[in-house]
Amino acid sequence: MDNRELWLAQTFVELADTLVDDFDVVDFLSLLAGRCQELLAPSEVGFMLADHGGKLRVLAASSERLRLLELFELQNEEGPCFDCYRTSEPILNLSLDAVARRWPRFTNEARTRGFAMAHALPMRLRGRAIGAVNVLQDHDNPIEELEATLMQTMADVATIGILQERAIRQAALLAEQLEGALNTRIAIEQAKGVLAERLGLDLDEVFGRMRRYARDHNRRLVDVAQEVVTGALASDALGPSGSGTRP
Amino acid sequence: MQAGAVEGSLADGLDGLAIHRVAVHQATGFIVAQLGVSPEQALLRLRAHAFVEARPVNEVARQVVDGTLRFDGGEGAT
Repeated sequence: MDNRELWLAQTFVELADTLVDDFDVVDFLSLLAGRCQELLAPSEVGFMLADHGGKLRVLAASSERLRLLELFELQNEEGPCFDCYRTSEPILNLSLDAVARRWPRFTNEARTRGFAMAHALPMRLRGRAIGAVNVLQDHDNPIEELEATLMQTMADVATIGILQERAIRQAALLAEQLEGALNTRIAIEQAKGVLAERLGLDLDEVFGRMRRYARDHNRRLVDVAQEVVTGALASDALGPSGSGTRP
Repeated sequence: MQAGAVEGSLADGLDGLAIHRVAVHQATGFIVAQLGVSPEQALLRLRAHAFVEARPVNEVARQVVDGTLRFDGGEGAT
C-alpha cells in the first residue's frame, strides 16, 4: 500500500467521529472492515463475534453478499477463524493451497470464490478472544509485519468499539453486551432482505443506502433497520428502485 | 418473540433450532416484503415451507435470497 500515513490519518479521524457520535456497532465495524480492505486490497474482511454458546457469528464485513458472509459463517466448524478464536493467537499468511487437508471444506469454498490466502486475528479481551477478524485475499502476497500489526490494532479497536455501548462491570454484563451487538446484526440482515425485495437492488447497495440514510438523518443504523422491517420507514425513503441483480 | 428486531434474548429463542443463520435472517426480510407480514410470521412461513418440503431451513432460505423461491405468487412461487 502506497500512502499508508494518509490511510492511517483518514482512518483514525473517521473512527473517532463515529465513536463520539450516536454509536452503532455494526456501522462502526462496517467502516472498519472497509478501511482494512483498503489496507490489504483486494481482500475481503469479516468481523466474527462469539455468541454465548461459543459459536462465531458475523457481525460486520466488507461486503454484504450472502456467499461471502456464509464463507465466514462456515468457520464455526473449521477454518482459520475457528482455530484463531480457540487459541487466541493470530494466524497469518496461510496459502489456501497448503491447508486443504487441515480445512477441506473451508479451503474448497474459499478457492471456489477466488481466494488464495487467508489470515485470522483474535479480537482480544483480557487475554482471551471474544471473536476473530478474517481477511481473505484473492492474491497470495504475504502481509508484512507492519501490516500484521496494523491488522491486530484494527482487531483491538473493533473490540473496544463493541464494548463501548455500555460500561462493563461484571462478566454477566459483558455477555449481555455481546448478545446486544449480535441482535443488532439480525435486524440489519432482515432489513437488507426487505429492501432487496422492495427496491430490486443487491445486498451491498441496500446496505449502503441504509447507512447513508442513517448518517444523513443522524440516526443509528440499527434503528433505521428496525423501522425498515416494521414498515415504519418506507423503502422509498431510501431512494429510487433499480433493476440490480441480487444477491 | 423470535424474529423481531432487537429487544430480548433474540439469540436464545433461535439457538436450539439451528436456524440462526445469515441466510435465514435475510430470507425473513424478503418474505416480510413479499407478504407484508411481521418478521415472526415470515420466519414461521419459511420454517413451515421447509418442514412441508422436508428440506433444511437454511437451504430454503438461500433460495429465497437468490430469488428462485418466492412466497407471494410471483415467478418461482411456492
